[in-house]
Amino acid sequence: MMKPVDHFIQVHDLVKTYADGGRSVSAIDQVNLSIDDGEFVTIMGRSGSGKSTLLSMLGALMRPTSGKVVVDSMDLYSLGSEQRADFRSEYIGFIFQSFQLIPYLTVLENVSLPMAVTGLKKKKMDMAMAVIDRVGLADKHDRLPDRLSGGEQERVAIARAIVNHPPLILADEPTGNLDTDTAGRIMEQLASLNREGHTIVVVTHNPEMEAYASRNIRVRDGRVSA
Amino acid sequence: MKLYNICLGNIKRRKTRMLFLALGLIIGIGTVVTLLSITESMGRDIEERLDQFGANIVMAPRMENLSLNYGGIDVGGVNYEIRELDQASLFRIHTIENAKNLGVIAPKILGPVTIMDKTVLLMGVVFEEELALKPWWQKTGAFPEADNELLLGSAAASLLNVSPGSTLEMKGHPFQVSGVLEPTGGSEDNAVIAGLSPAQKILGKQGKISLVEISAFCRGCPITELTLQIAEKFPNATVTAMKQAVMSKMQSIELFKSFSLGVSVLVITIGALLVMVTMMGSVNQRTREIGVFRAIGFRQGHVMEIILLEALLLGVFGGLAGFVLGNGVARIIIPLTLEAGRFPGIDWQLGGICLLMSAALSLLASLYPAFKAASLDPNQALRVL
Repeated sequence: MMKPVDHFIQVHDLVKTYADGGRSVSAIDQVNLSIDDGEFVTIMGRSGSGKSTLLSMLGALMRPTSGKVVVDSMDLYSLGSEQRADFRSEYIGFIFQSFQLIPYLTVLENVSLPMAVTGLKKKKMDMAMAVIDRVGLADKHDRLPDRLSGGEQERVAIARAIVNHPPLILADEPTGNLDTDTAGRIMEQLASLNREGHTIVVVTHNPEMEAYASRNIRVRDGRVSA
Repeated sequence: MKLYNICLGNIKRRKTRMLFLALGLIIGIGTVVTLLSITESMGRDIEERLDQFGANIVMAPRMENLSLNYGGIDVGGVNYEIRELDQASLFRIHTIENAKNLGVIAPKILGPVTIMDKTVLLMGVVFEEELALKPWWQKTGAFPEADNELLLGSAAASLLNVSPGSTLEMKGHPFQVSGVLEPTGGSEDNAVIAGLSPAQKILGKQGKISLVEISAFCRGCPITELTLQIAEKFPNATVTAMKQAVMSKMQSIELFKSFSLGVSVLVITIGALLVMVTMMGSVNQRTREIGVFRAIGFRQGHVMEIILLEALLLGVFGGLAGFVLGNGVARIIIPLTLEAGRFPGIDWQLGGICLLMSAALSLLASLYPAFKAASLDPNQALRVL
């Protein structure tokens, strides 16, 4: 008998329904999928197709109506709220749409934010500076986000996502607000992170992203179609 | 990076916003400090007036049946022939617990003396103390400076038909009248006033004291407490407080204090509510930010820590700024509103209390907003994924 393959991420019969007025609306409907360690996956679909909802559930941010999300053999939604926070801190780097930088913190402070709650005691600033250097913003580390261009803000968001060296990076429309050239550079950076071993899941509208991904998942009306 | 760096970053780079957040506390604490300063100033003013008003405690030997009336105020019993206090024991007054609240201590010897075939009251006093106790005394001539000089009450001077410069003889001792008092309406109008030592000698009561008038005022303790403390030291004396005058003044201060306290509680409550409302507003505005914190792995406790730490810093700042503001307003307002009112000075102890109270209120008012922030669903808060 063959031993079942252990995927890094396993999604079983995932369902998410919302109450809309008196009726129930399915955002995610019986989704099953798996993602292996080191994959670069894009999730594509129209607006309202449920792709962002799926990403939220993969990131331990949204409890499904039914089904399971298992990451590294951990059933995320059997964990308590605080344990899920610890999981996010240890396993996930988020790159949010619209960057979501903290406006009153400098680049260096924004990037080191995830380290504020880790057990790491020493060299936090050195590590953060190394990551900032990597995304090419060393000379702007003491600037506030509103003094940066859109592309620079996105790079800060990437630096913040990888500063704790999480195995999984989840990105929601990372190039949605950027011009084509800047978007290309951002995708290059994500591909580079993937080559270093990070598993990357990107929700996007941008068909050019497919070229960087090892696999593409399409979501339509809450169902995975490929 | 520590959690407090987030708070400091927020406070440092959003100063105006933080100022508005702290405004409720600043106004609340400022009002309390101003009101307390006004009450303090009023208390001191009344204290000074009472000091000028004369004695408020009288100590006389414990007597029965006979009453001694002095200055129109009943001060207990006296019997000229039977008992006096021992002058040497007077130092014990200074050994009471609240000795620092004692002002002027004026011992007296009283007794009848015959001058020009007329019997008058001879009162021996320590002029330095007596004049400090009775600043309203007006005289013709001068106050006595030597042992052989006398001061006469207006009625006594008329009776004996003497004026400043005249010489009188008491029991064979010559005395010069240095001054005559203007009518006061008090017992001294009828008295011949000499130095304590010569009067004791004339009356044959060396080392004896008929009564002691004491000017004392104690804002920190009731006047009756002082009289009890003195009475403890002099078991053979009757110590009486002229309570009516003091108590009515004290009652006014207490009334104003209660009013101030009531207003302070009201203002502080409103301030705390204001902090709570502004904190809630701040939390609502920071919903996305809190969502980011939660998404990148901050626990609920971490979010609460950030909000409460900010509240604590705001509270300390609000307390300090309110204390400075309150003192500033009091300094300006007291001379304008109180006749002869003076700013009582900065009370550092009150400053400490304000700081603690402000920090505690800010924390208390922020508890619910912090709990609400920590309980936010990270996905709902972000509304981006």
